[in-house]
Amino acid sequence: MTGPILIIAHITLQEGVRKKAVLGGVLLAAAFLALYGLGMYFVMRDLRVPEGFVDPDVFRDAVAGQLLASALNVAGMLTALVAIFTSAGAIATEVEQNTLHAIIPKPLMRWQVLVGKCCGLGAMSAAFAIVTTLALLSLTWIFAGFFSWSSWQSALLLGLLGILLTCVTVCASTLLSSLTAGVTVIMLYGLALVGGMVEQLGVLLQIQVMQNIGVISSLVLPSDALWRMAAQRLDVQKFAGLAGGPFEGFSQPSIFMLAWALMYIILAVLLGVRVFGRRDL
Amino acid sequence: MADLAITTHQLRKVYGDTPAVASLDLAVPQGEIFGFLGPNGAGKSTCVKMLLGLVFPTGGNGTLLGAPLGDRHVKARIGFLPELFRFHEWFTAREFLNFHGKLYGMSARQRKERISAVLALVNLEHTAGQQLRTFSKGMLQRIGIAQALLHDPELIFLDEPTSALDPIGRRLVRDIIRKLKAEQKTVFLNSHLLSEVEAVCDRVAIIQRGEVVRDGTLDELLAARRLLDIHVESMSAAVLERVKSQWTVATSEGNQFTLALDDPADVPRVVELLVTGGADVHHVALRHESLEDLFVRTVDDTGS
Repeated sequence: MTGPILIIAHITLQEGVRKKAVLGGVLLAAAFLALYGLGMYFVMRDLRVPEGFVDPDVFRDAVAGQLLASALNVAGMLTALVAIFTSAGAIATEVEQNTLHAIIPKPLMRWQVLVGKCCGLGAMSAAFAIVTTLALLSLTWIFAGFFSWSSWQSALLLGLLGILLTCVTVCASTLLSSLTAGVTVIMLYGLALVGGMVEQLGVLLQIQVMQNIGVISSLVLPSDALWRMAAQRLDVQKFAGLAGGPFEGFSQPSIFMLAWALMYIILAVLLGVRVFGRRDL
Repeated sequence: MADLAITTHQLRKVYGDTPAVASLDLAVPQGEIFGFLGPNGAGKSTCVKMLLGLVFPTGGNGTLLGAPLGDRHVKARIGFLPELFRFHEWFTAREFLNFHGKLYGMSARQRKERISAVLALVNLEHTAGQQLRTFSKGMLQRIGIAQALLHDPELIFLDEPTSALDPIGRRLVRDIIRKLKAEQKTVFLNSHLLSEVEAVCDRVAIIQRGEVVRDGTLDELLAARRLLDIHVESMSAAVLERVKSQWTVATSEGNQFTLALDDPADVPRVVELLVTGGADVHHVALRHESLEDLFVRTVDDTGS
């Protein structure tokens, strides 16, 4: 049963390498990390602690933590773009180009093709997110000496974000054209992002309706909730001595949101299997 | 009749209110080369797709090698060359066949042996390391045939297998089909090239609007009617009317026309009628109906 899934996952990864999608992702991440490393190096070198600040180390950690949290925000967005753009044509392009005509009549089930695609593309996006996040953490440790033992969880949560968006995009790709699938998931991602901001403002201003809007948008797509959980695991507040900030947020999603994200991935795959399983090719 | 490789019973596909395949009843014996014919839009490709699980039937049912359509184990005994042969072009030819061999569940050793064999069969052994994106259309069609035959299947569907091939490539495919017949394989050949179908098929079915309107062995179908090609000069209208009153004019163009005869013994009577009527007879030739004649007649009779 797993044989065809692994075969499809393997060629999906191989296709990513051959079509230079992986190379593009690596170059993108390298440019981003180089910029971040340079920025962190110069900030730490030239940082002046304001007069009257009792502990200069706390101030340095506060600045490094905010830089790291902002970089994680960008890493989350890059992960989203990589996941969505590499998955938008997963099924749709194969249908449009008729390449599935030679595959579906083989001794495998349609769901195995879809799950294989999710595994291959999900692994690619998750690897991008995890490697990028670990590199960010390493650069921060090297240049600022800022480190938290819980921050490895940020890498995993961002990896989960990549898997979530991959599975949602592959699901959309069973029903929509490549372009429409990509645009739809980007819109959903944007909706969740804005919903998350509204929720944070709601917390700051203590307006319940705004907080509810954020919760609902996280139920529609828990991408922003995952990112905020990842940012929380950086432990920026602990090191910075600050109560939250624009990047790590003023309130944190509950553990149920993590469970919902996992459930969401399963539901997206099941929906994709159902739609693709009934589609004429 | 031998065991049946393919059967369908009232197989039907409707898109919205439009039936693509009205009701298809087929019975293809094992070990035969079966030609599946029909005009554009008759529903041939939809039928093939339904048989192979690419399109879901609206109604009816069918079997392949004795198992219901969609049976996963039977799929391992079937090969298919799609009409729109688009493959992952970033593969090299050998990687492409290796991938399809894995999907068929072949072992590494089997794949190694068979990949070399099928590449040689389609004259592409020298391109094994070349990416498919560098292939011409004809080469892509041949590598498509190679993937269809890779696992030595019992039943092979070839959907327009020579549409992109030059005469040499067409001859190669004809030879492959004959070889498959010698190995007792069943080939389901969907082609517009009637001369090719006539050259290799044992049995044909002609479909119109998704229904079989004529089927049988080629020998039966083509022996049923004889055609008499005639070239005359100076034939009066009265003589032509007398000819038409006794025989069916199959085709007519200028001074040449073709009569459909139920009995070959009528030939002397036709010639006598023309000569006594004052016509100058230049050429008379009796022949069997060709598949093209049969196809055109069938489509004309059932079309509009």
